[in-house]
Amino acid sequence: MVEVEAFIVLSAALFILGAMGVVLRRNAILVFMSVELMLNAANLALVAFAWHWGGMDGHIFVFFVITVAAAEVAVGLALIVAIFRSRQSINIDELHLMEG
Amino acid sequence: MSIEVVLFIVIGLVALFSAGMMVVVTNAVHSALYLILNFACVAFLYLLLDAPFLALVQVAVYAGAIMVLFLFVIMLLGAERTFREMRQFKWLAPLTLTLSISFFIVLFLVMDRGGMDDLTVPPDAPMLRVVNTTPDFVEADFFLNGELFAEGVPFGGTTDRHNAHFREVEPGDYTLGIAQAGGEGRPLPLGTFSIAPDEALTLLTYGIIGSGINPTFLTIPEDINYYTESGGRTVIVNAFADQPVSVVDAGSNRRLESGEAANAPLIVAGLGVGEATEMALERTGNRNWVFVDTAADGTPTDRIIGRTDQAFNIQQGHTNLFILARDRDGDTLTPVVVTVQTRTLPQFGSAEAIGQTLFTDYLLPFQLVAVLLLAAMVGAIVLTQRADIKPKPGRPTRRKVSRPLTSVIAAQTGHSIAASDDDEPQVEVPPATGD
Repeated sequence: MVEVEAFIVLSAALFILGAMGVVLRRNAILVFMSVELMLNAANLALVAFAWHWGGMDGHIFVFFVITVAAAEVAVGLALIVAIFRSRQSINIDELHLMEG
Repeated sequence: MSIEVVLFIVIGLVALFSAGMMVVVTNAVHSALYLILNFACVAFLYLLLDAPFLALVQVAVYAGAIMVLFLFVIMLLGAERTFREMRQFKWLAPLTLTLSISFFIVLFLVMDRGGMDDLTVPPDAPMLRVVNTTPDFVEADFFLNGELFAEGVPFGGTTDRHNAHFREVEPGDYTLGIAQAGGEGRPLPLGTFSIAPDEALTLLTYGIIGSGINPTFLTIPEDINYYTESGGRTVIVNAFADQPVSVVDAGSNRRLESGEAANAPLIVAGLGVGEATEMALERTGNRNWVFVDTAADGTPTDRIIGRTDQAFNIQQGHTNLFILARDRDGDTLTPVVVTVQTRTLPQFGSAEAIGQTLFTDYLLPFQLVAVLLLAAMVGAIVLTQRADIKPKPGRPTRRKVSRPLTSVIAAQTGHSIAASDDDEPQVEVPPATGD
């Protein structure tokens, strides 16, 4: 039987890899994918604790997180496409200057 | 090492590897493919955690829909080409590493000192429901230790429909009391029972005041051994308070005659008064069951006592209660077969359990998430719509439309065949000469 701690450590490791992607990569789409990875790591922790405690609420929360992630992807990718149209680039280091 | 541990280690390593590669590789398409692999691994871990529904949603929504969207945008923008990762903020990498290591240290401290092992999982609260087949109480209030548990339960009915008719109670010893709905006075005590955590009990009241069998109740625990993949659990109860009965299957024959009962397939033989029998039955089409009198040696006779009042079918994942009871019609007591078909308590992690929790306790958040999705849809459209979609000046705004066939025919024949729209170029139609 796998202990719940093993799942939590795995989830934390995935979360940190996602956070590293967000901070270190400069490609906006990659940053976005790293955010998805972090959301997934949090989902894994939720499901692991739901399994440990035998309650359904964790599953419901994961369900909501997946829905919100889908909405977020739709809006976020639309933003990236709009930014690409105006700046011809999705390098976020070039985008951090807020002028014009 | 059990197979689960091996699977966890292998899948976990693949998940970590794919997540690391996703962050490291320069080509965005490769990153997306590694992320899909990672999502598939997480879906597999969900299966290990008894969450099959979420595993499928993970594959369908995350690895399917969302990643297709990502790949589409990468291809659309040509973002897969590698550009030099500029290092404007050189202090970011060591800072990230430091923060990650401290995060892990805090995590291990929490797991080591926080006492996660001390927390034992609390057992589920016991569940209870009451089925009323006491003819003296056509509408009954039920009391547990003098406190109202359920009110207005009709004859042949159960407690409210929420959660497969079960209600959570505290574990312990109880005295069940019954009273006329809304009536005054002390409830009539029926007997005592005790309920332990993780149990689900059905209390079935029967008996008649002043007859050979005074009102009492039968305790039927929920038993998952009687559920099958394609069938349902069936409980047959003899609450007739007179003699042992047998049950035969009349098939689709609504009116089984007395002479035919002996040849019909036997379901249960010689069920004594106040006895219940449980079985797992496969899903069936329409059925009619007939309760027949039983001789002293347990063989069914031809005398029909009662029938199920309408055809029923055994449904998957349902508990079917068939109770031969007495109904009071004025002063005469008539045998009646009470059928109570309820859904079973859903299994942990199943789609049914998620649906039930979602549509009872979390209905409002569910609606809000639906509104959020709608807002996101509108937002995506607004963000990506081009501002310069307006027609350029100097060009005619009217669309060029080729002459519709009907107007060509109209011009040739001299008859107006169809009224043309304002958008379309008008065709000169000679005035009709009159018929």
